[in-house]
Amino acid sequence: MQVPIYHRSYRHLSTQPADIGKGVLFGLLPGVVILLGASVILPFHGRWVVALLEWMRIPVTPRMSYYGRLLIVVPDVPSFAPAHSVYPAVVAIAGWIVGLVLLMPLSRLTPLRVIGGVASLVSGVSGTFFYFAGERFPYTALDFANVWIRAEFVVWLIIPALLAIILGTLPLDPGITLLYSAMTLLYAYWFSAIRLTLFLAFLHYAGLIWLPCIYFLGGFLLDFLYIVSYYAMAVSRTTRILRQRREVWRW
Amino acid sequence: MVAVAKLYLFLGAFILVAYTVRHAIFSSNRLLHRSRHGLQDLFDSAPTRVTVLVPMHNEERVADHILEALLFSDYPRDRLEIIAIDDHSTDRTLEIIKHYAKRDPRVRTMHRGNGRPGKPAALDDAIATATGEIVVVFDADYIPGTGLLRGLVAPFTDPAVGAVMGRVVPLNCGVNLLTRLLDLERAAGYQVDQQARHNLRLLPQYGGTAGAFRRTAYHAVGGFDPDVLAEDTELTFRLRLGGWTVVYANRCECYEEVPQTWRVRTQQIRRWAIGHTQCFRRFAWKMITDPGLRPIERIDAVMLLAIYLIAPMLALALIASLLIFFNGGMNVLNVFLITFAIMAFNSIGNFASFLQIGTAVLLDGSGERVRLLPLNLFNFALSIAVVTEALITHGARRLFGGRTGWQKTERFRS
Repeated sequence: MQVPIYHRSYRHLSTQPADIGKGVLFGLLPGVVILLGASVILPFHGRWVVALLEWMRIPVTPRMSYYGRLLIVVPDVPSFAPAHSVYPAVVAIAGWIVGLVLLMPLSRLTPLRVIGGVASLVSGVSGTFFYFAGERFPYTALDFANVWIRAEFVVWLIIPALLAIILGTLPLDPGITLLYSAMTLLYAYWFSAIRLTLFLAFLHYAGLIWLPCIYFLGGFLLDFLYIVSYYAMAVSRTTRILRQRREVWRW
Repeated sequence: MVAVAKLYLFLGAFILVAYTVRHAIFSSNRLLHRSRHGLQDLFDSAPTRVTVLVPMHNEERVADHILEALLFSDYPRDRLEIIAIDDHSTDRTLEIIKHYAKRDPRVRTMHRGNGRPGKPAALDDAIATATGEIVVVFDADYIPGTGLLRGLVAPFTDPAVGAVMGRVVPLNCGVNLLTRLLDLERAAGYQVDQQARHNLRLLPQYGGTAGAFRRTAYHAVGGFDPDVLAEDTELTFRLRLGGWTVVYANRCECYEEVPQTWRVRTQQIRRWAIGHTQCFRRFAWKMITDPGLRPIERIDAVMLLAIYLIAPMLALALIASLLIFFNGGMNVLNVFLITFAIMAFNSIGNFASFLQIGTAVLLDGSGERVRLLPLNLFNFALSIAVVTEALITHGARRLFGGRTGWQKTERFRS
């Protein structure tokens, strides 16, 4: 009689279709809550940002916009960068030089050099634009806040859908899937308000010249980073749960 | 100009979604379906004669480890030949090989002091003198286990099998953050990506080390091309186009040393990116038009060949995004950037999508290491920059008649 070989190649996760269905449904629940409660959740997000900015002693005028949802306005965001002035020239020159210094020794690239280099180059591009055509910069702080809150709302809807699908297939209790989906969403909500506050405060003190840098490097890539972090925590938890269960092998 | 940039982002997002779907299918296949295993439990009392090739260039740090490990193999002594190739070494490599050749008749020394250096050329020369029907190749930093050769050779019982690939497991994964991230990447690449491709009867990749191929199949498809930096990928596609199958043997695990510094890692990515893209140029169209392949196999093969082209595509997407941004299109950009952020992180690198890493960790049953998963962003950022630079440099060299040479991976073992 052949003796079965117990090797990790043969380990099997026996998730049944009904469990997957339950997991997906439970994972989607926080998304449904967000969708149904948008009229409460969005203004609360805005009020929170306003409160934080006021706490930082930055003058704020709250304004209703976009389908009656509350958005915030930082009325005093100076451009600091009239065309052909020193400030954008310094940002441009420093951005290009630092960017090239970080990226150019190609044989010595490291992740931090790449991230720092790209950030510097984006600042360099922005500085150059503001130096030559600062008055034609197409956005205000209000535009940024508008775009931010709308995009974040989409992200909040994507999170439960994404986590429901990827966690639904794991051999997890549906309650745990719900927990991770809700926790990620809560973090997204909180982190979004904090980031928007910090970015608006930064724009208030340093000017719109930094908006491209903030938008490209502090935006969706960071959102995705914490989604992956919560996914990693869920997987780590699943392996611990699986250790307490009877192993399933399939040869 | 802005319209072109928008169209480019739309196409880019579409391609990235396609890669994400591919990775999701592979992950769910591994999580929910039974795996195929290629005749690995077959025990042949009179197995085929095997030639093991170990190409070495300045490998004094690791040469004795692999030769010692190979001599402990349980493969029948009279059916095993080990050719240790000294390829233009300037250190003690040849001396070490000669020592083992004197100690055991199974070890043969091959010294290459003239001719073209590099792994493909060295392997070509060695295969010309090999006596085994099955050729197993190991890089010098690998440490094969006792039963590995039997496991790799067993699938060749099926006469249609042209090559077999084993699973590579990092030996030095606890050294620093980079080695830990590479451990996650390797787990995803083999436990999920390669095995899922094998399960779905797509094309698993012969990886050039910890793998084997049939000598007659190798000759039938014309051997290695020394001009290609990824001779393993090239052989995989030539074999498939020649009607042979490539098998992945997940149980055949072999230890390797992964790069411990970002500098060495960048060299490795650079070589893989150029080699892979050379293969893309050669085989993408052939794979699409080959009537012997199923449509899904053709699509997957092209996606596999094009994986490194995602990096310059993303770099160009950043430029297109800046163009749109400064032209007042921040609203439009949102849609693309959300897609890009989610999909790009899932597509780039050497098969290291976050979903596949999570799946691999679950199947391996080692959960703690997955907490490093978000830090894979570092690998992601570096890969985009290095692959983009490598492909641009290689393209420029080709344009001006130059050639990109082989670079040896530095070893760290003491």
